[in-house]
Amino acid sequence: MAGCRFNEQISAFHDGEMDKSRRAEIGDHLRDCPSCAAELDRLQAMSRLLASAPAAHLSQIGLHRLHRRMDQAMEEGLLRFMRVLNAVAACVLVAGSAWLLMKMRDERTVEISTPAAPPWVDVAEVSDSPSGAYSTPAAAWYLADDSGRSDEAP
Amino acid sequence: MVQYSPEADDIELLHRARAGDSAAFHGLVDRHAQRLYRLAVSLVGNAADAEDVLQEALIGAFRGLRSFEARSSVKTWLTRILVIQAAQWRRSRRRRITEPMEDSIPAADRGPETAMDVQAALGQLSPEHREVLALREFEQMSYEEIAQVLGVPRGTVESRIHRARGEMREKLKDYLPKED
Repeated sequence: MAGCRFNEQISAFHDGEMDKSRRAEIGDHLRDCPSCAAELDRLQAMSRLLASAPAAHLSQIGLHRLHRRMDQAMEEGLLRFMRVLNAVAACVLVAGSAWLLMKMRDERTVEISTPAAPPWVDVAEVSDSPSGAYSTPAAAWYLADDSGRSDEAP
Repeated sequence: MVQYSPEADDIELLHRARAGDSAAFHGLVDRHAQRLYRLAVSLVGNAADAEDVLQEALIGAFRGLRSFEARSSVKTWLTRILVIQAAQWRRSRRRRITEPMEDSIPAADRGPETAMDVQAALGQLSPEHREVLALREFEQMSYEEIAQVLGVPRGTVESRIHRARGEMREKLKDYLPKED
């Protein structure tokens, strides 16, 4: 038996896991090879023996426990989803509040840095810069009118 | 809970469960629980752990409903999840206690006296051999289905079954026709 080259294929033959031509070939071989035929007998006997073993049976209580556990898992899944949703909502709330606070602070800073213009705002602000930029039209007029004057003492 | 007719096929139940219909998932559980439980007992060797493994496998299936791509049948998909869960159970058990699984079953040198000993003999096989033999002999799965469940080539399944049967024949030799 051990020496027969078909021996390893008897298992697949027994399980019907062969194509037609291969099956026919092994079938022919089994008629001529007593050791492979005996191997097939043993495999069939083993399958019968395994089939005769008492099958484990899940009791009704066990099945009920299983369904209850599934319900718990589904609820846990829902709870997890709700938790994620809560976390997202909290993040949006915190980010929104922070943004609102920053916006309010910026507006207050602008108000402080730009006070109402004083009455002398139209008075010329002479720039020290060589380009001679003047901030108001009044200053420009004054300087234009001053072109004929001399700063030198008579 | 909505009761689904036996005609509603697994894929339909799975699609409904995926859409949030919890009754459809319960329908799938009803349909496969007995078969999966039997397989779980074969893989882990005792009823209490088998129920735990089955629970975890089905919770895993529920959480992974969206990962089902219909490349295999729902039966094969659920069986694969169960086999993976049983392997995880074996690993965690090995971490907790260092004794091999065989030690919790009747002594190896005791001859198989009752049909229950068939289960004990199966428990003494290596996990790989136990898986293929249980899937083939108890689940009546084809080699192709077993290959999908275990994620191995078909040729590997064929050789594992051959070796597993050789090992099993040694343990059950008193029940089988004598070798010449």
